[in-house]
Amino acid sequence: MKKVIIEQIGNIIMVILATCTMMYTVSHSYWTTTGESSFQFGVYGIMLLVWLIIFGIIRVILARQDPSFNPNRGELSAADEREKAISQQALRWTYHVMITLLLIELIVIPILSVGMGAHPVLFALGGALIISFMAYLSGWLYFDAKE
Amino acid sequence: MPIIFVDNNVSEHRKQLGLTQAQLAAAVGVTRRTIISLEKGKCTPSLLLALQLALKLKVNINDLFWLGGSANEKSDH
Repeated sequence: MKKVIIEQIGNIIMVILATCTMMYTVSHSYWTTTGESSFQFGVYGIMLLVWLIIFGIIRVILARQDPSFNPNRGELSAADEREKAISQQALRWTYHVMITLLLIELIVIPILSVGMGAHPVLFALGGALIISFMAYLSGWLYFDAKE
Repeated sequence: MPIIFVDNNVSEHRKQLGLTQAQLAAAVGVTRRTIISLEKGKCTPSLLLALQLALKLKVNINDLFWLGGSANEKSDH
């Protein structure tokens, strides 16, 4: 259970920082028709880089402490057949949440982006990823308690 | 004759051998929570795990697991 909580919290922080970085980049960068360009990632870009390093270290430590955690499989790591079954049920739940969200975004994003540019698109994509990570985590905790 | 679940008496056989849940879990390569869940009848083991448990508990698999439900009591076997 601990590995899934750590992995999903780490993923959520990563997506928040990545979304902020991209929003900053869209606001402060340019690419003209003459080929002139400038891309800025701001302080969020540095924070994202730092977090990726910290998260990487946390995952290595976690893999050493908990042999059932496989860094390559991440939140899909399973200690045995029961955890595999929980993971499958949580994935099914996440699939439903994500598909519903994306269907809503398919309609809402184009409308918002007409007047507000790229920010709503980035916000919606980042939000969808965060909600999906939260759905997997909540699903995992629910089915773990149930089984 | 509806089959509702797979019932078991893993707990009884484990206690007879003086094993803890953690020891049995380690012996068959699963977590302690899986053994707890199994003994409570909340989860159904795979055939592989059922055979491993029968081997470790030194009992025939049919005496360890049977089809649950009103018409499938262990006394029928």
